[in-house]
Amino acid sequence: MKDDLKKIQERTTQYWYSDGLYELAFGAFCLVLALYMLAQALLPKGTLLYNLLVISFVLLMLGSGFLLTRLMNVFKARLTYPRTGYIAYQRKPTRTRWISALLGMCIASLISFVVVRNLISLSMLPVVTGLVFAFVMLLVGLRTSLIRFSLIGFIALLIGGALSLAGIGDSLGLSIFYGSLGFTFVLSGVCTLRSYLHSTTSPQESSNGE
Amino acid sequence: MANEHADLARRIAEVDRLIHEPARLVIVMILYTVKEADFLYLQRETGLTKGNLSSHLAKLEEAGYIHIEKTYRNKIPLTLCSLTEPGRKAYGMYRIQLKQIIENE
Repeated sequence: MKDDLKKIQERTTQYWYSDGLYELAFGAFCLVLALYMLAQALLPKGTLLYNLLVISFVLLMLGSGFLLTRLMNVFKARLTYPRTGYIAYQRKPTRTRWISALLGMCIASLISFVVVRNLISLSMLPVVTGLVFAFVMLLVGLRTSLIRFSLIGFIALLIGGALSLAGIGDSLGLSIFYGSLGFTFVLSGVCTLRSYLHSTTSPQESSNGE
Repeated sequence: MANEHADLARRIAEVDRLIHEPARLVIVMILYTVKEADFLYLQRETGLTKGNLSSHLAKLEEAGYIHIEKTYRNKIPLTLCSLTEPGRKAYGMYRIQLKQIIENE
């Protein structure tokens, strides 16, 4: 009974990722981040444009995150829900959300502290970022029992490691890192979406609702 | 021995039969894990026919275990189902009762 409930919980969690739209949206977010890092690497430091870019970081990330989430929801409403149905997930308890936010802030602070204090060279930044991504993706993979997320985490670690070994750090290294990771996510999303569309019938073929 | 069997029979009889039915149990289990689910999702997950699912949902709604909301999305009819608080409690109680029966076997 407990196992059956766990299986059902697992299936409902997996359902969110079954169409690949989450990976496509997150991949696009990584590509935006890569473009931002590239612009930061190419623009001369101290110029007005460079300073504007630095100031607009949070706004740009929040804006693109919001836009991509909206886009993903629109596509889910048009593509996924009419084919395989709709479910709304329960909100996580406030305590869990606080713990997640606190953990994220701790990791970000730790990385910032390590970089600012020069405890590691800038060329190590991609491998550290890769490690964080690998850890998060491993957690997502374990939570959803979807091996492709753990695989993406391993790829993130490989990309980060290769960039650090090549001595490409700082903004350019991170730009290549996020760009490669973005393409990996998009590729995974396209494959998942293709498989999803093949395995489900279109709303025209089967009537929706009751 | 006879007393033990009588006690077991009594405890089995006390189990909520509305939830104990396999198809309805799956429906309740699904709704227990989500905030709400539509008819299409429940149909796909349970493998029931539209008529069968409708009948089971109606029984659960009648008992006050689930809430059914009929609405529209992009001009297409949409039936949203969610577990009510009494439904959640009934399922919780059902789990406890079943666990006790199995453990005391």
